[in-house]
Amino acid sequence: MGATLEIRDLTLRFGGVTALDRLRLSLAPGTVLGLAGPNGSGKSSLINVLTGHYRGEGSILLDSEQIDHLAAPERVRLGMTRTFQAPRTYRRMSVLENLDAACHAFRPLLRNRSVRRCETKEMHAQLERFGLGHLAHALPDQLTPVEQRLLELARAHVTGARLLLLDEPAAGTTEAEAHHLRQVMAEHVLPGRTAILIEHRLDFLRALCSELVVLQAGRMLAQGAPDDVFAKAEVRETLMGEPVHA
Amino acid sequence: MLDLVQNTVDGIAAGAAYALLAIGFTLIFGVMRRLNIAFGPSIMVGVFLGAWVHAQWSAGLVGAAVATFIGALIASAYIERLSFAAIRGDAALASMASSFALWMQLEQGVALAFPGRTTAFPGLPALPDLETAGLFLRGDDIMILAVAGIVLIALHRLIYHSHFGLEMRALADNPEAARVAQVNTKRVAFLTFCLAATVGAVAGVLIAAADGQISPKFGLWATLKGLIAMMIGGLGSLRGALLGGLVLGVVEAQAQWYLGAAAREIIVYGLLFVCLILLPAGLAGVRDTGAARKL
Amino acid sequence: MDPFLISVLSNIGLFSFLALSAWLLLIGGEISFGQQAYFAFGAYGGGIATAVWGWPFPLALLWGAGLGAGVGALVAWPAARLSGVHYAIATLAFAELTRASLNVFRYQRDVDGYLTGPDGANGFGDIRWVYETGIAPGTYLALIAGLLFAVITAIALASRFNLLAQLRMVGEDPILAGMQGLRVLRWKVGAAAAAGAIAGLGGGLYAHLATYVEPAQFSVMTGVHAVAYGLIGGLGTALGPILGVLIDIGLLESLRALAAYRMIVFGGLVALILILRPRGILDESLVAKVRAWARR
Repeated sequence: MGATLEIRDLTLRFGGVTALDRLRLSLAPGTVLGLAGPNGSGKSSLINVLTGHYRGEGSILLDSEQIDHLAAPERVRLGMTRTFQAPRTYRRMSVLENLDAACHAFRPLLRNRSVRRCETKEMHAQLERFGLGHLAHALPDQLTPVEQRLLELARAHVTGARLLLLDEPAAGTTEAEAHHLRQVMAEHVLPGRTAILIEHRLDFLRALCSELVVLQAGRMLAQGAPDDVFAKAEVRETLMGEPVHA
Repeated sequence: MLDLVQNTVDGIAAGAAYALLAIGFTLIFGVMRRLNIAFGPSIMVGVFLGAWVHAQWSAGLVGAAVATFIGALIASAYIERLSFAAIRGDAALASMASSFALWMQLEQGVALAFPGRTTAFPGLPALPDLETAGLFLRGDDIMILAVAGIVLIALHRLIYHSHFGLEMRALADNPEAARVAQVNTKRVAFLTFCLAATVGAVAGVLIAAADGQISPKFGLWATLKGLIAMMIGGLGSLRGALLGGLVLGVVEAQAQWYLGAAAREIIVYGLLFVCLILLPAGLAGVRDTGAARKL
Repeated sequence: MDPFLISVLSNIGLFSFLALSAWLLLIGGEISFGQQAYFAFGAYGGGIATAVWGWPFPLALLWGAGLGAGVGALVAWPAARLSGVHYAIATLAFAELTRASLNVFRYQRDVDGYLTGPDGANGFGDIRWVYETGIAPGTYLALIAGLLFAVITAIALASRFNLLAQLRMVGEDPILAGMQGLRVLRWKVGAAAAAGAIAGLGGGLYAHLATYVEPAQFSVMTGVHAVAYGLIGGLGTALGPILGVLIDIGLLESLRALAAYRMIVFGGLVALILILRPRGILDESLVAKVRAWARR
């Protein structure tokens, strides 16, 4: 069951720039919220504030619990995780070890008391599910870009988190690769979870999201079902750069 | 009260030299994102070469200064090639350890070539001391301030009003973007090292000439002063290096006068530690709005 | 055993504590130029305990290690929020602060008619416990070796229980580690405490062997050497920093005829090794290969 997320009057300022301006949002469990907007509109900033890497003003409630005073690792332990726009891995550890680290990281120290779903057999099975089974002992640098993104998704999945923050999971991939990632996400990663998905690819957002928010200069420009939001002229102007005549 | 002001005046002169050292460190760190802890020793090689040239051919301050520049440049090039250019981009730790290793080499090399605790270095030209309103400004200090001032102005022009300066700033700001913009990063890095060596050599000459002598401890001494000044002022900021150097000079002068040499050390290192903990961005650093560091 | 050899091996052993201390922080992602401060705390603390307070030797060693751990944690707690160069210079600052403070630290008491204790820059002599109890140099070497072995075993145990791997994750990518729930600050402070304890233990052993310590011995050069040992010997295993110490002191001894050139040779060697192997001789990929081979 996905988590509930509530954001109240979230504001983030850097020097003279306001990255987020009194944002309000409420996510029911299982919602997949798409987050779109031009560069610099605050999408990544929102994720960074939610995870705790930036401290802003306002409140964040995860499952009705206020988390804005908590450090990032504490928030993760309450059930959130994120993927990174540029995939991050432990480059000196194998793919399997990287996945294992995500699963084990704050589990019991002693290996033989590890949670069942983090056992090696299960890790291999997860890699298979994500199409990385044959790369278990490869080093991250040996993976192709789309394989790296699959690893990001696999790692997010095995943490068992109930709130997923996905930062452009298909950035830099071809159409075919993005399609594949979409299928993997729809099948394995998103079910039973609440998620916020940042993407520029509109077909991605349409296919996966139950709700869409468009940001502009840190403020919400539009919110609602994807088709309704895309229908709005100001949204199309912001996202595609010029007025589109209906 | 007068003492306070006098100490400040004395401290600024010493601080000017520290500022130059700090600027040398900052130039290298800004462009390479790595710390060259052999910077002090490379200048030391220069001043010792200068002392040798003077000893051999009575070259005087000018000759010694030229030799210092050459020595510092050669030593810096050696360090740049071996510890920085040769080491992979992501292995910053290795660069630092390597520069330390070369520091050991340079220090022992100098100690072997110049046995004896100190070696003579030609003095500064005798400028008249200035006395005004009960304050005393030594001729040497006037010289140091004047030369440092000229160097700083020249450096400012170079960095902010020249093509090379633009390339340096581009590389410091965003190496990837600079590469894409056709900046020859390797060449700029090498030349930055040379520039740092030049600035450092000026500091070296001023300090050595003011003292009239040098010792193999100069390497560590210069490294520490430069690092402390740079960190107090704010890592990566040239303005910070200048400010940090001056602050360090003044604090040292005051502490030395009122509390003595032992307490001076304690105060300087205590100040540095506290500065780093409370003001990581330094005195001139960019002020945080409270948001944590960017991902 | 030849007394000279005993002396050399003892030196290697003692420096190994310092090198291991710096190494632990390195794999946790921090460079510390200041482990010599905790070595000093251990030396002075342990020395005062036996020479001035008349404590039993094991308790004095424990006290020295405890001081190292406590002060190490205390310094790391605010400093761990910093990173890279800031952390390195902060540790250097604290170490120099320690040294400068020891230069004015006087604590002398009358012990059996003699004024005993640290006397500022004049140093701290008459740490005579080893000689009063008549322990032979060979026996003391065995003690050093035994305690070093115990430290290495403790590290191996930590590795067995996945602790070292987690520290490495924190070291390699603290942002990623944080996003996987590792409490990065706790790991950094914890590592600093452990490193401080190791250095403090070494310091206590050192003070009793040398019988005389002075602030000048705990210099920046010592600290930077400690870091260098781990970086050359290799970050992949606790044996790395010890290898680094062996190379340096081994070189010193084998090149005794060229003792004057030792730093030049060692420095050049280090620079060359680091070009070829930036994470040292026994780096992580070599250790991984050895482990894979051993598993076959």
